[in-house]
Amino acid sequence: MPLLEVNNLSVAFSGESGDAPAVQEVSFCLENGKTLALVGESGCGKTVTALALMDLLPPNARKNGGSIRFEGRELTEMSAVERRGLCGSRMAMIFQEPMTAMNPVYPVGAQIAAVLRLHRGMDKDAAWAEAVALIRRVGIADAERRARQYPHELSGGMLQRIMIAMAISCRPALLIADEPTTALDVTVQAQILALLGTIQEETGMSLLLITHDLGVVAETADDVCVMYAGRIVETGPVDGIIASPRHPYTQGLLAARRGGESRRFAGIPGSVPEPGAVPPGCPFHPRCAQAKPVCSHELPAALKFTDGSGVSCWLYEASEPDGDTEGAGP
Amino acid sequence: MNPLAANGGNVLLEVTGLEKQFPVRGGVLSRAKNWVRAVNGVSFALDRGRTLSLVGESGCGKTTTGRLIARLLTPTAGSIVFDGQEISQLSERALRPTRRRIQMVFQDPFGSLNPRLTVGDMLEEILKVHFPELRRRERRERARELVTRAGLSPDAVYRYPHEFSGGQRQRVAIARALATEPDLIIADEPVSALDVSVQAQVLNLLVELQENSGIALLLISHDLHVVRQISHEVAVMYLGRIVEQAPAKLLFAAPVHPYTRMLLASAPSLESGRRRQRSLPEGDPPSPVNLPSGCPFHPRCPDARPECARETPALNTVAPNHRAACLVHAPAAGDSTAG
Repeated sequence: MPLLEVNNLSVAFSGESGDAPAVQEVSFCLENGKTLALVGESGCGKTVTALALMDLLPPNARKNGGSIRFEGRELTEMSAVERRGLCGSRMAMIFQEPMTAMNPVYPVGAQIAAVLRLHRGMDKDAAWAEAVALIRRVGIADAERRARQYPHELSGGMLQRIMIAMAISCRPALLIADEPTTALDVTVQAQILALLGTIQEETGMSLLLITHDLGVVAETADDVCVMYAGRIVETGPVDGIIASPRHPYTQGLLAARRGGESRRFAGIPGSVPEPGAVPPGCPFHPRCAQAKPVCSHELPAALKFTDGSGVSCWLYEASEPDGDTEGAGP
Repeated sequence: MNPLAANGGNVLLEVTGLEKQFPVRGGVLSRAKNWVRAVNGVSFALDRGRTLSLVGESGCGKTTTGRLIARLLTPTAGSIVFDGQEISQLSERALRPTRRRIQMVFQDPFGSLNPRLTVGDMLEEILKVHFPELRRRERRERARELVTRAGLSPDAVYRYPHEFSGGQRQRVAIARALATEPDLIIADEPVSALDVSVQAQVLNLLVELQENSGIALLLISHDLHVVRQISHEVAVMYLGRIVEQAPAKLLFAAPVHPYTRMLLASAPSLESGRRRQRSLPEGDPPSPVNLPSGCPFHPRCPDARPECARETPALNTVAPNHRAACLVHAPAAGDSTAG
């Protein structure tokens, strides 16, 4: 049984001009101890998906059905109280900006200790001792002194380590990391990604990594879901996606990363559609060099292949040359 | 003199020993308690029509260097020779003719455009200042031409900044930079705020403009992938100094300085496969308020020797066109040139 199973999750934001869908019919699975990356550009719905899992959606967001099964329990049917007990303990989340995610008026150690007292019922002294131990565990030297410092006294990399310490304080089965290294320098990014890998090896924790950086994905993920305009357009094991992407969008993203000769950059024409102004048919068709007439008015079905990968694109109708499709209805 | 200025009359910009210190104020009387040495002796030259990139992590002084050259800041010491003229200490009035020839493109295209002017009005205003001889109709014509050169439709002149997407806004910023017919564009993280799929459009536009009009480009970026692709020459900065400089191909193929190696090894790569074994960078980038003694990189350097804590290495030539500041990997030879 997978640790996390999301089926047909849809989220819309209500605004003055009606509902703008942000996430549409998103489905994926995450096994114990594995890393799944949700990759995409701004507005693709990757962060909204994560917030929906953590029950942190803003008030103007509405979940339009879909199921989220975590450790065999259906989260969407739980009471708010039950849900809150789970979030922060069995599933935890870290964010892009560690500075804004922490309370500026409490020492960082006290913030970790508060989590321990709430979720693990520790007394004050035990919680503090454990907080210091956790700070040491995430690779911060001089942990006793650091625990007494306030967020503004620490560097961005150190704060992200503190966030990780807080997130793993209740030994979660799932950590959701939303662009955890985007705000950090590249040398610090390497350290943080390595730290997450070590924690996973030691605890068997699963990681749902949300990022726009395919390089980070290539180095850390087992499986990948590529999202575009609120939908998953391609999914599969990381090696396959990087080596032989099927969807023209994934191909374009990878080409943009690889670059060619003669100082020119490969990119994708046009820009990412705003939520609420997503084109009909395949959402990518206006930017797609390989678009066919059908792409502009009909949404492609999610095709599944035997190796566990999948793609939503009219270029791969059930007549894929390898014949390894199982097919799937629209 | 600077060894890169070898090819004589083609040098557009030559920077020597550039320094900038900012006061850190504190206490009741706001007296300067300390100094941030943001730029600490930077020297390089840039030829016409070429691209030099300054790379490094936050706090390395790359943005300050760009702003000093654009003279948005006045250097504490050092010289900036632009097309044969020393501009480092010129007054605002004396700078006027040079301002036109050096333009900047900033990271945030929304924050750097006036939200209350249409693109056409904005461009016409610039033209009015710098080319007063133009008639109104000519200005309007020129504005339409500029947005077309930046890859937008001529109708873009009637629109406001908020009506554009991020990538298009950056095109507007480039059109604005082009309006004064500059010889040098300083682009500070011009695509960092853009989606990956859109970055290529803006970068290709910069390369095309450069190839068509011979504009020199000083690119300031933390993105090694972008830098590798677009630059002729790359300078790696660390704590206010250039620690290594070489043609882009050479720098990425055969980095000499341990910091450059650390930086290149840290960048995630598509090719390396999952969880590759690598030596992880040590420590955090230090703050420029308390500079380490000797080589600024020695506290994090895997190859540091005792003398690195005492002696500040000069930027020595290690190969033709390749300079590095490292006591261990680029020891001073007879042909050494101080950086």
